[in-house]
Amino acid sequence: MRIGVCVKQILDPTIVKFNIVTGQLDNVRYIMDPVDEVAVSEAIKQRDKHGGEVVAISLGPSKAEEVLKTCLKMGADEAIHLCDESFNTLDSYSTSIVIARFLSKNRYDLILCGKESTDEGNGFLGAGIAEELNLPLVTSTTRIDVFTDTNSATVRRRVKGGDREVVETSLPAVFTVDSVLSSPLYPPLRTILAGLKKSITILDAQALGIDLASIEPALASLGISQPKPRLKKTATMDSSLSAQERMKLLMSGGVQQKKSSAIEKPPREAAAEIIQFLIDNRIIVRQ
Amino acid sequence: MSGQDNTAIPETSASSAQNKSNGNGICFIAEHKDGKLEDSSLLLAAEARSIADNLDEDVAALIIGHGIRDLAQGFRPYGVDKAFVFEDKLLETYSPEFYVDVMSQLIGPNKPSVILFATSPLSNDLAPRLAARLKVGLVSRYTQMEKDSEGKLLVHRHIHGGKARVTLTPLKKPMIASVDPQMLTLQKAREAKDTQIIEPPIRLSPRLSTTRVTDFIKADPCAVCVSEAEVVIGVGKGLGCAENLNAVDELARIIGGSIGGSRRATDEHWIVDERRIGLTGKTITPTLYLVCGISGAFHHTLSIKGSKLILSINTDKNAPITKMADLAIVGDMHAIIPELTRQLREIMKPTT
Ligand SMILES: Cc1cc2nc3c(=O)[nH]c(=O)nc-3n(C[C@H](O)[C@H](O)[C@H](O)COP(=O)(O)OP(=O)(O)OC[C@H]3O[C@@H](n4cnc5c(N)ncnc54)[C@H](O)[C@@H]3O)c2cc1C
Repeated sequence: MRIGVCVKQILDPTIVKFNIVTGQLDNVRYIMDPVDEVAVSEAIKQRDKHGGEVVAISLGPSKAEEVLKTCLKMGADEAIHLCDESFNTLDSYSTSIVIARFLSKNRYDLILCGKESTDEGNGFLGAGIAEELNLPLVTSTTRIDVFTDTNSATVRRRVKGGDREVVETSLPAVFTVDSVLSSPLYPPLRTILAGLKKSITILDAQALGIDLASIEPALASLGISQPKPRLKKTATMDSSLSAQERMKLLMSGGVQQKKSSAIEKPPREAAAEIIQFLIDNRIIVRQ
Repeated sequence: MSGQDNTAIPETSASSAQNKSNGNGICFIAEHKDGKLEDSSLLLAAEARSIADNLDEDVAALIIGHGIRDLAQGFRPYGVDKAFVFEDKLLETYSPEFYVDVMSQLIGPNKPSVILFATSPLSNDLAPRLAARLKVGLVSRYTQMEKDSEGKLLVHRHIHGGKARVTLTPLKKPMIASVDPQMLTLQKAREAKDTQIIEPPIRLSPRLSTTRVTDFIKADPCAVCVSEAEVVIGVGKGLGCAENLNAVDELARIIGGSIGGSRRATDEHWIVDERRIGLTGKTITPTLYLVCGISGAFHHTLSIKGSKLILSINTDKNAPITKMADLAIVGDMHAIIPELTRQLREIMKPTT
C-alpha cells in the first residue's frame, strides 16, 4: 500500500506574537503542524500493518525540509519537498493543485492530510486534492480501517458532541484527519537512525512540469495586521421582533450580554437563576 | 500581487450591476433539520443581507434536501430576494457528493460574488468541497467582510491561533466563505420581501456517490472526551474531596455533561489526567462550560475561550473566572449543585 501524507511547517501558535510597531511576527519558532504529525503517525501505523511505503510531502520554503527530516525519523520511507521560489506566495487553492499534480504521477492508495492546518485553519487542502484527482474524500476521520483484499476502507468521522459517522469508501481515497485519530508515535532508535540516513527529494516547478501561469489563484493576500478583538456584533433590541426571535437573538450572542456583577443568592434562588439561564440559552427545555 | 488585484476590481464591480438584475449576488446555504430552518440559517440570511446592502447586490438562499419547499418563507423578514430550491428523496440524508453536485448546478453559470456558510460540522465538510468543485477560494471563519474605498471586497480572518489577522481579496467568483453564527446578529431587513422561489431543473445521478454512510455512533455525553463535549462541567480545588464528585456526577448525568477539571483536581486524583483542561491538558469548545470551584488561572482559562457560554459557581466573588463568565454565581458549590440537580429533575428533559 502506498500512502501519501501532506505535512506543513507552521509557526508555533502558542508563542508567536504580532509586533504592532514592525507589523511583523515576533517570537517565531518553526514546528511541524501537530495535526500533520497525527497524520504521519497514522500513515506509518497503516503501513506497518499492511506493508507498503509512506511518502511524506511538504510544499514550502527551504526551511520546511526540517519537517520532512522529522517525518523520516518517524519512519516515513520517502520525503518529497516541493520547493520553488514561485511557490512562496501560493494561495491554498493553488497549493492543493501543485500537490495534486505531484501525487498524480504515481498511484497512492491512501492520501492523508490534516483536517485543517493549525496556523491558517482554512481546511481546504484535502478537498482540493480530492477534486483535482477525482478521488473520494472523507473529512475529520477519527479511525481508519483499511481492507486491502477489497481495496476499500471503513472510516469514522467526527461530528458533533463526540458522535461518529461510519463511512465506507473504495480506495484510493483522500482522508483528512482529526487530531484524535492517532496517538503519538515513539519510533525506536533504529528507525530514527535509519531516518537520518535517508535523503529528501527536492522538486521545483520545472521538475514537476508545472506551469504556474496555468493555475489561476483564487485569493490574494493583502497582508497581516493586529487581530481586532473578536467582539460579538452588538445590536439594539429590535422592537419589531417577536419574543421568540428576541430569545434567538440573545442566544446567538447578537446582543452583548450585560456583564452584570456576580449574583449572590441562597442556593435555592441561585439554582433557579442557573436554570433560567440554561433555558434562555436553550441548553435545556422545560418539559 | 497588485497586478492581480487590478484585474479583480473591474470584474467584481462590473458584474455586481449585472447581478442586481439577475439576482444572485450574495448567496447563502440554508441548513435545516427535521423540516425546520436552523437558527444559524436565519442569522446567515441577516448577514447576507447586510453584506449585500453594502455591495449593492441581491440575496439568494440555497435550500436543498427533502421536504423543504416551504422553508423559504422563513426568510421573508430578512430581505432575501430569491431562494433556489431543490428537493429530492436522495438528499434526505447528507451525502457530500450529491450536495456538492446539486449546489454547483444550482449556482450554475450566474456566479454570485459570495457564497456564505455558517460554520457547522456539515459546512466544514461541504464548503471546502464546493470551493474545490468551483475552483475558487475558500475563506473559513471570516471575522469581517467589507468593501474598501475602491469597492474591492475585503475579507478578514484570524491566523496563527488568533495572534494575527490576514486580509484577503477574491480573484475569482464566487468566493466561498464561512462565518461563526455566534458572531452574527438576527437583524431584520429594512423591508421584508416575498422570497421568490426558483426551482431550476437538475439531474441527480445516483452513481455519483463514492462514499456511503453505513452507521452512526451516538456518544454518551457524560463519557465523551471533554474536548468534544457540548456541555462540560469543570471542577477544581473547591471540590474539596473525591466524595463530593458524586453530586457533580448526578448533575452531569441529568444535563448530559462531561466532567473535567483544573490541574488541582487532577493532581488530587479526583479526576483522571485525561480530563484536565488547560495548557497541560485539553482544550474545550462546548456550548456550555459550567465551572465549579475553579479560580480561573491563566493556565486554565487559555483553553476554555472557545466555550460559547461560561457559567461559574465560586465562593469568591473576586475570582478571575467570574469576570469571564456569562453568568457568575457567588456561592458554595456543595449547596448549589444538589439543589440545581433537584430542580432540574422536576422540570426538564435533556435536548441532546
Ligand atoms: C506550567 C504550568 C502549567 C499548568 N497547567 C495547568 C492546566 O493545564 N490546567 C489547569 O487547570 N491548571 C494548570 N496549572 C495550574 C494553574 O496555574 C492553577 O494553579 C490551577 O488551575 C488552579 O486550580 P483551581 O482553580 O482548581 O484551584 P484554586 O486556584 O485553588 O481555586 C480554587 C477555587 O475554588 C473556589 N472554591 C473553594 N471552595 C469552594 C466552594 N465550596 N464552592 C465554590 N467554590 C469554591 C475558590 O474560591 C477558588 O477560586 C498550571 C501551572 C503551571 C505552572
